[in-house]
Amino acid sequence: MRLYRITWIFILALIILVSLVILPTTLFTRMLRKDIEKFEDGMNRINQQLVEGQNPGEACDDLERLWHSHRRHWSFYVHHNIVDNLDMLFSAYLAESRNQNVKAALSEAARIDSLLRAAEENDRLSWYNVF
Amino acid sequence: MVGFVRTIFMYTLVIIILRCMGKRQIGQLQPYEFVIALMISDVASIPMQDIAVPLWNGIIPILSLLFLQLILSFLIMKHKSIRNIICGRPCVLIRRGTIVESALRNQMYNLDDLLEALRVKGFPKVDDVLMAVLENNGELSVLPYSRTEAPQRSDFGMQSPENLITDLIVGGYLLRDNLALCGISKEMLKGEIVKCGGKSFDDVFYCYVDSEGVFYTQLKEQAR
Repeated sequence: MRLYRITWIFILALIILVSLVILPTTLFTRMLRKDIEKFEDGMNRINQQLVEGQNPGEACDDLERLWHSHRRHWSFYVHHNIVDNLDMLFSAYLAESRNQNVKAALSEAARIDSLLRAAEENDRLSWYNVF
Repeated sequence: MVGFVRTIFMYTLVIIILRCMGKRQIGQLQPYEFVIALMISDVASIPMQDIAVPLWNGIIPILSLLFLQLILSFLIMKHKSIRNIICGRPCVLIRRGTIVESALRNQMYNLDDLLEALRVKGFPKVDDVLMAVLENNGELSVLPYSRTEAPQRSDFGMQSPENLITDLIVGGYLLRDNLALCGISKEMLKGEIVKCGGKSFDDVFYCYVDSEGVFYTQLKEQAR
């Protein structure tokens, strides 16, 4: 089959478009998932120390630093209201953890966890999300 | 300020996308192009209005729509059957001075609309129309009987010289490509401008030359 110049231009345009749409989306979804895993690891470490009656000050500092370093690029892709809610929840959780208020900290951790899961789940390609 | 920058960004993006879609997008739209143009305008407005929505959420659907439009245009260009399905087929509404009722029903085109379109085209009488076709873009093309057409110069055996006009200066801006196309030198054009009382190309508001080499020059108000 002979392909005309316009056909090549079309094919090239389609390839560029697909890369522009799919590549960044896939990369960001993967990045989001990795970030969530890191946050959960940090929270698990704090929760563990709280349950064992240790002071989670250092772990709290690490998680705070981690969240603030990721907050900006989350706004690039995730709805800003979700980012703001997470910001507030992280602040509350870290404050309760530093005060070693175990019940309140675990409750905040559960809320953060469900919001992170929702952020991840909303972007997952599935029939439920499509419809 | 964020909203302002976002608006500029989305506006620029939509302009680029519409240019990529071709000239038809701006003029006469096919149904699928109309849908895409509507959706793009809608999608672009969301991140412009609400700064909480990531800009990316507006860009992705617009690029996806461009992707769909390119695929559809390509398929439509290559396959007539797909063209018929997506764009539809032109429909004859009047044949030899008679309105085709079944066609009107099929197109959900009422008689008032048809008569109005005929009047707009300058045919108040249906029996003057040899054929009227409802095109895919919604336009009604009317082909009258030859008895109702105005006589042409050729009917009287008169010569009709084709007089092509080429713009040379528009708003003081010299169109070099057109100058080269007509084989006119800058010096020659300047001579014409001086004849009209101007000094330079900047003094000219509008200038063209016809195919017989006759110049029309209008100077700017401040140069007169």
